[in-house]
Amino acid sequence: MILDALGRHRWWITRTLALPVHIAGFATVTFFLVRLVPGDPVLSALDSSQGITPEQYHRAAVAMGLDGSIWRQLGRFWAGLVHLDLGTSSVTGRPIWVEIWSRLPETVELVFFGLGGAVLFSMVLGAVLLQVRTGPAYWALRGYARMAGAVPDFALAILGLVLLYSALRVVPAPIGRVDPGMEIPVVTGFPILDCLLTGEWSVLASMVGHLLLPVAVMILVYTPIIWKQFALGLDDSVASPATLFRIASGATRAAIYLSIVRRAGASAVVMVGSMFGALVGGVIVLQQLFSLGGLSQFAIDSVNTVDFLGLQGFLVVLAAVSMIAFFAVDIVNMLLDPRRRPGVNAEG
Amino acid sequence: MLVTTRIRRWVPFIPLAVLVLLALIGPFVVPFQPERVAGAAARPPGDGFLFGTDSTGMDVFSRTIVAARINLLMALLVTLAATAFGVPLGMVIGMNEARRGPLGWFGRAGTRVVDLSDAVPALIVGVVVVGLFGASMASLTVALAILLMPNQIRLTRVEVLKVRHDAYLDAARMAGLSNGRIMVRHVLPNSVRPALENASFVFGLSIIVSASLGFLGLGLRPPTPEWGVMIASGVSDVMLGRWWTALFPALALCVAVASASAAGAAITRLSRSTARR
Repeated sequence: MILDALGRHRWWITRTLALPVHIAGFATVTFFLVRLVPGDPVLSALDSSQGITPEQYHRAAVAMGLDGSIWRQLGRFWAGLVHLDLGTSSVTGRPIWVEIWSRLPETVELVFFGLGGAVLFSMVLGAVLLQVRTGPAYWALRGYARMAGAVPDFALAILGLVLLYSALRVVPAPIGRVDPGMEIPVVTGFPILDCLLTGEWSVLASMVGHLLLPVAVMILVYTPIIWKQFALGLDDSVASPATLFRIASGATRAAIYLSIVRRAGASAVVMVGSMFGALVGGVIVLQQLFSLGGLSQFAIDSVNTVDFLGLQGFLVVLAAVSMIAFFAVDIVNMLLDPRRRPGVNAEG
Repeated sequence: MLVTTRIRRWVPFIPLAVLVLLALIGPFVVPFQPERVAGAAARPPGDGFLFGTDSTGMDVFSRTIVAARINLLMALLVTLAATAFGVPLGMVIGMNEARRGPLGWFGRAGTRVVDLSDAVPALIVGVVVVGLFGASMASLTVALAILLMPNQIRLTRVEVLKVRHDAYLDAARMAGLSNGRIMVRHVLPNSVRPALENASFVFGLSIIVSASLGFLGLGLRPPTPEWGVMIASGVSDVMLGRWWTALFPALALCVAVASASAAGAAITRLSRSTARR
């Protein structure tokens, strides 16, 4: 009985159990990568102008978790991970976990709007392209679709700033999330959500103005990539035997469309999931360009001060975010399409 | 075949060829020294300075042209290294994945590592590597090559898995050819195509990532003429109404990535049409 139930639910149980294993595996790789660095991170973190006593050195090494053999360090690193303890930042003196965690929500929110907008826009364009099959509009759309991956987002953002800020003055200066002097309320850490919750409409309006251009750039740059994937999937599943079977057996038009979209959606979902992971890290360039704060400043400060624990924590957290996104993608995919569950052998 | 169609096939390569030419001869033909003050600061385009001058008085046109050399050379080295190491690794992994023993173990571990590498964006690893190893052209090139190699490994591996059980490999094995010889003579030619087609994507991506690092202030140091560095120092000018210092390197970056992508699409088309023949 119990074994039976386990067998039926094996697909999500094994995937859930694999998630912490993947994160731990990656964290371990990061641990060794960071220790390949030439030079002594303890020495470079200390102020050596007045000479260093062995006690000072030892204290700094303990603070950075760099005392004892490498295996003991690894053991402590793992134990720290379980308690979400990534060490203390040498830049701010606060725990690295707190530094990253306080910046992650606004970054995730920005990516959510950029990527969500791109998904919506690619659906609109897909619908338009189904209606328009000739003429200049068709070729313009085809040309746009070809741009997938061929335009760097921050270069496009510069073009947008020159046009919309310098020339037309329709977007505010790229100097932050809100107009100077405004205070962003903090409830959950997601700035737009917090404005909605507290009813700070003027702050919200200012924030929307400041985020308009960066989000528009993300939508313009990432739509072709999602669209291409979705269009490929649609082409495949429109002509597949499963569709023909539905038509032959007299299903309604709505049921046929639903079945096509459900089968074609899988690859697009994978694409969106992996883009989400990549963008939570990749968006730091846009954040820096528009002075939006978020993870970008922490990353850059850590690099400039060679904050070795900060960089290690940053890499581990971002990889964990990606892996959680992949996990969500896998689960959604296995829900959408049971053939993708492990142990199922069927014609895809 | 008509002469015009034959010529038209080469049209997509023209932008990239022009860029490469500029990268080669650029430093000798630009009107000003790219790292020296050329005239008054913050002059708008025209009037002796085609793209104007930046806030220290360096000529934006000369710098934009000379930067092509650094950005393209680095992208070229990265692409060559990522492909030259990625393809053999992909072949070894693909051929041995299902085996027992240490080679099979290596193959399976390799596949896992390549999958795991998906979890971190290239830019972030770039940021961390620069933070830990310092920014120089050599460290950036090595880091980017390692970062982008999984793309080439994955493509080659999938292709090898397709041809692994083909009859001509069995024939070669029965004829007594050694494993290494089979790989080079038979597996390589039949599985290298996707990685070669993907090379232009790697090229474009490495231009973007290296310029992004420069823009974040983590790549090469100013006043090195590099597009990302130039854009970074030009952003504050944009706010002061001096749009030209950031715009032209940004345009150059877009043009470079787009030409690489156009050339890549053309290579794919060409190789498909020769394959059909």
